[in-house]
Amino acid sequence: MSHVTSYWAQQYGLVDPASTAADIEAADPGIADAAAHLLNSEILALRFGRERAAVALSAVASGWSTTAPHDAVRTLMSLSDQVEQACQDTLPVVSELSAAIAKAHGDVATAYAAADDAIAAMGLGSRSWTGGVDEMLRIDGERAALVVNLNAAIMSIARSLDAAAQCAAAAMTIDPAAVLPPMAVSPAAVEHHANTALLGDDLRSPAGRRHHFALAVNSALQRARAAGYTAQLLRYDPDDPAGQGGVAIAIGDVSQATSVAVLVPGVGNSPVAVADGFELAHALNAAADTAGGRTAVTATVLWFGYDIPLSSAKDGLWGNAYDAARGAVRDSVRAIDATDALMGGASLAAFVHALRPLTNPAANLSLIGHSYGSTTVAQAARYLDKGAGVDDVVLLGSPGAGYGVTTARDLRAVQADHVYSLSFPLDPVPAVGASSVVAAVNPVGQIARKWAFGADWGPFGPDPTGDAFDANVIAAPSNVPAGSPIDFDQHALTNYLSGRSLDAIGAVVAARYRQVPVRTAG
Amino acid sequence: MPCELDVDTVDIHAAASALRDAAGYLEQPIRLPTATTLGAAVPHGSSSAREALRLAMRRAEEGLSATQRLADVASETARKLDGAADSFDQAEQLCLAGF
Repeated sequence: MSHVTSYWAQQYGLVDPASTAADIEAADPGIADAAAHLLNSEILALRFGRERAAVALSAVASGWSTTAPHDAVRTLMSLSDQVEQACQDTLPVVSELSAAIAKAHGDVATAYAAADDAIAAMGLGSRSWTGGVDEMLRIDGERAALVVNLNAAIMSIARSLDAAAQCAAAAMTIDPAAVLPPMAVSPAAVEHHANTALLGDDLRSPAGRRHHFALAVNSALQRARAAGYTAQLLRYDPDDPAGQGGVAIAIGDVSQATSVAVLVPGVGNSPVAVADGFELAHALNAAADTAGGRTAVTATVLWFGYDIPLSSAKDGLWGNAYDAARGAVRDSVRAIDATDALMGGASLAAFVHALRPLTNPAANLSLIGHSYGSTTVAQAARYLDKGAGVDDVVLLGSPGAGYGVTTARDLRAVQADHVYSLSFPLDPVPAVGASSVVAAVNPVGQIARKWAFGADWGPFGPDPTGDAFDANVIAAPSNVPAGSPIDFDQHALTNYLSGRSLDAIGAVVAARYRQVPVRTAG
Repeated sequence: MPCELDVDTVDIHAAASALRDAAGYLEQPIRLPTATTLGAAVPHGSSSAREALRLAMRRAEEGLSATQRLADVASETARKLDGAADSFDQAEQLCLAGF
């Protein structure tokens, strides 16, 4: 604050009231208003929710003779009432705090305005030599007195604000959450809420790439809810990787599950279309639950956390035509070798480290990759060590296991006999098709790989269904009848996650290894 | 009919649907400035006011967290109700099929 009294305070060696005034003005009533707005929103949500819960209570009362469901809904309503009461109790305190801060700001302005009036009335603005020394001393004295009085007034306002703030703080030291009976909250639910809060921020952001991404993820979560699935948003990162965004949604509660599968998609998939995988995840959960028996509960995480090649058409995230074209070219070029899988593997390894604390420590954790996703999974399994908590690796329709991998033993995350692979005979991608095509379009790739890695594993690395790789090769037929020589339906993830192959993969996920049909050597 | 259980699964599904609606209301993503932005917004303010504002925002966020936990409870209860109703329906079907 620049005011003449600050200059006079310095001149006469007095306390400058502007310092305290600045402190008062720095307290932002908008923060308290924002908190009050949030509390009001919560109260409204709780009321609407409670109304619907009352409808549920009435329906459950007529449809059920035992008391358990009735009690569950009643408990929910009771908890809702308690949370609403806690919000109601806090709301007036927060509103009073906002009012006290606003009043303090007004009082500071009034005190300075009164000082300005006094300066004008008493002619203290300028000092004239013509009045003589007595007059100059009088003016100096009046100025000093005015600064002292103004400082006293500002200090008084600060004390009043302090008192109001301390009063509010004391009223808020009773934690509203503490009045609630403990509710079992899983770590995954906490992660979900943290990510949905970030999602909410982006939903309210101006239209743009982040907003577009948030709309897609929000729509996916709504779709899961409409389908009756438990969906947990375990990762939400609109800025990563490489502008495509990253997302991981679990179908099922990973904290409660006895088995958790992480499903990594291949080329052409996009995080904004994550909902397309929900039914497959649900089917995999059902297959694993069947294999696992009565107590088995499976959750499948759809992990879209790497820069998935050939996805730009679905992404729709590029700002303008130039960016879109550049993104599409970069996106396509990356499909010609395992470079993205190299980096994606590191990201997936990091996700596994973050996921494990959210799961039951005893839960069986499988990494399942399809197509280019299998290359990514293999690379992650190469980075991770056995302490990372991965139990099984499943590579489906794989163009290759990526660089730095020769056999299943190179996937350090698991024992070699816990590496499974499956490629249908007519799947055009593993059947040398992908490698042949990219070798034709990228003849320098072989030289570059030799230079970078000291060996050439081909554009995508070794075939994990080959004898030399020494994985457990799942023996299950394709679910798509033989048709044209190059039939990409053979390669589809829906084909791999159907019929007997789905049963076999479900058995791996549930750690029922004896139920997994594997190809015998030779 | 001897296979008809004394359970109205239509009502149970209706209850589950209402609970999912409740979860939808409770899960509406609402979020305002956090304690981090609060710290940035009040770098030099009076310490009492700063502390009170920090507490205000924390209280609001705790309310939000509790509300969202309730949404979880509502979703989970709905899932269980649907699952139970499906089981009853299947039991009736099996009974009718002679098992």
